[in-house]
Amino acid sequence: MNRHILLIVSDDPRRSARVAEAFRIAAGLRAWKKVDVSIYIRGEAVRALAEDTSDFLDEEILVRYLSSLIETGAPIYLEQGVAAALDVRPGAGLRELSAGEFAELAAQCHATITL
Amino acid sequence: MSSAGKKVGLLLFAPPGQPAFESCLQFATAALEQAATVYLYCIDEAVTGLANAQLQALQKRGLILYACAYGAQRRGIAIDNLATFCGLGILSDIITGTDSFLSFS
Repeated sequence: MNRHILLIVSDDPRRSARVAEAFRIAAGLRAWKKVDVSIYIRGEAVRALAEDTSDFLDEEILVRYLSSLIETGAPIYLEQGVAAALDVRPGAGLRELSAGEFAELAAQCHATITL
Repeated sequence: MSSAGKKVGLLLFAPPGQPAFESCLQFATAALEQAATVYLYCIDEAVTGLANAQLQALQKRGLILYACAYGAQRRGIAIDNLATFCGLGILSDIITGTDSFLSFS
């Protein structure tokens, strides 16, 4: 069984290139198939799922790797209620987690990487 | 609790001057002093700090130092002997091959 890593992304993609970097890291780790990677997107980072990406830092990288993660079925979770609050419509298949569910997920993982 | 014989993996995002950089190096120092094998992978802005004197001193003391080649290239940082430059495959190996893994951002 592979070790399971949880990547937690919090920054606003309009202000921080770390969001793009987080998706690049997630995609890169998944490609080697030695580590299972789940992604939890919370707070302002949920903006990364918006249709309009024109003001995102490292937009091309962010869009490329996020799209790849979604298309390859990477486990991507959102903080509950934030998408609605930010008026972001994430695509189908992205599940929201309550605080308790997030804690449960984090507890199951070997380690977390918080950006 | 002794860490002798243990393998510790560290992932560092922050550059010198930020608290996370200092915390990571303090952690690495403590682990080395307890005879752990410590692997440090510098990624994102941390690649700008490879010449940091404290970091290089830790490498001389046995810290196994890796740096993200992609991050270095993006920032115009020369691929030289300050660290072993590599990709995310090595990070994957560090995650799977160590007893504990921590990130500092």
